[in-house]
Amino acid sequence: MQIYKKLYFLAFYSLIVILLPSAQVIAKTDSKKLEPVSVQLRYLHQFQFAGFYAAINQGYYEEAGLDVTLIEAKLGKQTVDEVLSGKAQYGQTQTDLLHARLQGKPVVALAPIFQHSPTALLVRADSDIYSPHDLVGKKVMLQMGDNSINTLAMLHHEGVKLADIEVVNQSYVIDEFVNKTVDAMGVYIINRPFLLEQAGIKGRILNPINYGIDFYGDTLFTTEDEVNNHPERVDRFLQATLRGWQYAMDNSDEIINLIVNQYHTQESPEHLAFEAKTIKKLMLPSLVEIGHMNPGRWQRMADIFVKQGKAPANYSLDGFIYTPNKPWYKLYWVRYLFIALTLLVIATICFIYYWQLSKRLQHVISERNIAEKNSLRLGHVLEQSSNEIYIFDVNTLHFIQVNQGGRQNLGYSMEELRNLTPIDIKPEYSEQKFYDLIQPLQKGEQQQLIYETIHQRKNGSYYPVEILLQIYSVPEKPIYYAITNDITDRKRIDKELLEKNTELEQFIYMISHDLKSPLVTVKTFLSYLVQDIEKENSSRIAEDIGFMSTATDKMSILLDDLLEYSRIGRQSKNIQPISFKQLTSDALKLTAGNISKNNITVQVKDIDLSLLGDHSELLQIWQNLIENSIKYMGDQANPLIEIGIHNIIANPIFYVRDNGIGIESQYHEKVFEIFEQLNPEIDGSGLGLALIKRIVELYQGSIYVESKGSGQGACFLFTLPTANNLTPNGES
Amino acid sequence: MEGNPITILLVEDEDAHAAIVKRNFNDFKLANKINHVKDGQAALDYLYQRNQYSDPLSSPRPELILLDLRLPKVDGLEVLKTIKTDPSLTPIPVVIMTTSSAEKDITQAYDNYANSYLVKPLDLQQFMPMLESIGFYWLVWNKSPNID
Repeated sequence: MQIYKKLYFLAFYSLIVILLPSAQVIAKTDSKKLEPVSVQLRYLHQFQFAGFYAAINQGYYEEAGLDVTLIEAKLGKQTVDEVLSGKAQYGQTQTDLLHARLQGKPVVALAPIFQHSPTALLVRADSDIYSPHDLVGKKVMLQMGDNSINTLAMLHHEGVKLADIEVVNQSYVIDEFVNKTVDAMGVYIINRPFLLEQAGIKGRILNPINYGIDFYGDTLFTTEDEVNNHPERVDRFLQATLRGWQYAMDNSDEIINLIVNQYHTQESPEHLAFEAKTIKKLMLPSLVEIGHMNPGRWQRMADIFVKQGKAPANYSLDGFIYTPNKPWYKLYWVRYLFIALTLLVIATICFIYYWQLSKRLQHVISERNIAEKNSLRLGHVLEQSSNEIYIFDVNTLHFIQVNQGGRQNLGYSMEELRNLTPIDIKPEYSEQKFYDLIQPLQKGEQQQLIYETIHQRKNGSYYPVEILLQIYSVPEKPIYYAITNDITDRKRIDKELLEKNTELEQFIYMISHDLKSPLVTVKTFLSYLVQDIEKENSSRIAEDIGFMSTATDKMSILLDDLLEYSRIGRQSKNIQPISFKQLTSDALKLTAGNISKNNITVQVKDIDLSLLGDHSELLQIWQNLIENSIKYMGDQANPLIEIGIHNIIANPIFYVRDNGIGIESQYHEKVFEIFEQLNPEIDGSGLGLALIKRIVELYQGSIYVESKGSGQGACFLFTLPTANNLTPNGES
Repeated sequence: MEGNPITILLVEDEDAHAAIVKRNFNDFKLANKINHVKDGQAALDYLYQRNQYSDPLSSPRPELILLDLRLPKVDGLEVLKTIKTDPSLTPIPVVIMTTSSAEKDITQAYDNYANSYLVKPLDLQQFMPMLESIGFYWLVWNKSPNID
């Protein structure tokens, strides 16, 4: 920012430097009294001096701090002399100005008013004079002074010698021309032709311009003294006069009226109008800037004076041609250049500043765009999150916003939720209890609250949630927001884990007991055995050994079953299609010994179903159930085991039924518990049914027992949903 | 003590363990009779003189119950609860005799007013004095309220 400040200061300072001098000028002209200056005219008041009248009348001189007096010409007084004598500071005259200078008089040409000289030769239209050559032997009325020099130069240029013509002294009286006393007459084309026309005579002009002699006409001038002593006044006067001429050219009728009314001219308005028309041609205001001065033309004019023998060849025009003697900073072009440069500098600074600003803005905008985009994206993510997000009012507790996750799980629309509060969806919370809960947040004692509760859906069902509640403390309107997780799955998993843990605890407990028990037996009876051998008590010896043997058998079975049990679900599986018939026939082969020993009849229903699963796992179900039935057959006279399937099409239920000792209803669930053995008389670990249950559950199935009680037989029924092959090859 | 028949109810699913108890008590000559049942259901049937235990001569009210915890059908803790919540059975001392030394089992047993809790030792040299002490303590020195 420092650099910008410096640049601004610089720009401001340069503006002041540029504008200050003009401000001073204005201040000066305003405060000072007008300076009186006089202008010597070359003639009486007429349109030839229109610029002065306009400048006075339009107040241009007053603006320039000048009080201008116009002095009419007096007979016998030369304009140049009057100005040089100091009777006037400025004058307007013709070519005599240059001659005066060439004679060493300290006059200074300020500006040519007429770009071309109005001096020419007039011949009658009915004469046979068409060119300067035709003047030979004719009477020509000509003033031999300075102001005719262009005419003389024309004659000279055309090779007409003065000696060949009869020069008559200029009387300026048109009568002689009209009377044909003279053939040609030197005239001032501004007004003479008008007079001729008035007199009813048509004339023809021999104009030096047409013969390459192009002189400046009336020229505004002053003296070297004035330029040296009042350079600034000269400039003011010149500019105001030229402004006056510009105005006069644009408004000639107004100036004619002015001349007639205020300057008491003897000329008629028509005459003035003619003058105005002619002067316009000479001034060429539309082509050349009024007052434009070309040093080369002065040079050429001076050379003609030399040729005419009216000036020395070694003349000097130094100081004759006015150059505005302004301090450099007052020159208009310098000022314009400075203003232009200043504007450029300011523009550059502005450009740089705005460029920087726009760059910064673009950066800010792009950052904001990114931020907006990000926050928009965050908004979308939050809206569509399966986390439930609730925003509610700190005072009314009404929901302000609830995201899709929350609305969908609860089943309420946003409109409905706007009329509800968290208390409405939290059946565990009364209003008081909820206020107590959020108290620490409201008081700012806590940043967040994490708690678990249940939510009630619109349809009345419940789901457990874990809630992270925070307060968003913007001063104008704080809000609560709660990020809520439906923890149904987690609760279920927690419960399952807890169950598994309990099962594991039970398992270890049972193992420790059931393994310790036979150990106690073995150790104790070993001691007895030692005693009994000493005493040679043979019956006791046999008894001791018997107990030990039973205990070790029990231990062996237990270990086998444990191994089996632990393998279920852990072994790498070999899933393949296998038919019900195959499974039952395999199971019966494995149990054939006990079946025939106990004289048991086995009936397998003549039905088939393709199953998909691990062969050894599935086989174990039927094998264990058959063994179980054999074990608990009791003293049944006609032992029977039936194996089959119910409901084969929709949801197959497998069964193994026996007519053995049965199970009393209070033990129907207990039988499937691990290490549970209803009858201690029967060999077994109590793992058999637990093991079947575990396999069945691996196939997402369930198992239960039906029995009318003791001695009524038992029927084990089970399902194996994930083992159901989609392409049953059953015969029915 | 002579002429006063003393009965012990032994609730034990393990035949071998029952044999150990019986041998010892026979050796001490402390009890007239050790009635052995093999599961919790049978124990309750005995105490309430149901089914085959309805004859008070063959199944008399015991002076001491030796109760295993892990039992088929109805487990030992259930049997204990039943005894200790029935005022007619409460006075009978119940000594828990089991293989488990789990804290949970011990606590639960005492919570349900077990009179004593003993862990079956692995060694007969410890088992014998323990059983002898039980016999003397509960059957000789301990005084129980007279129910009859």
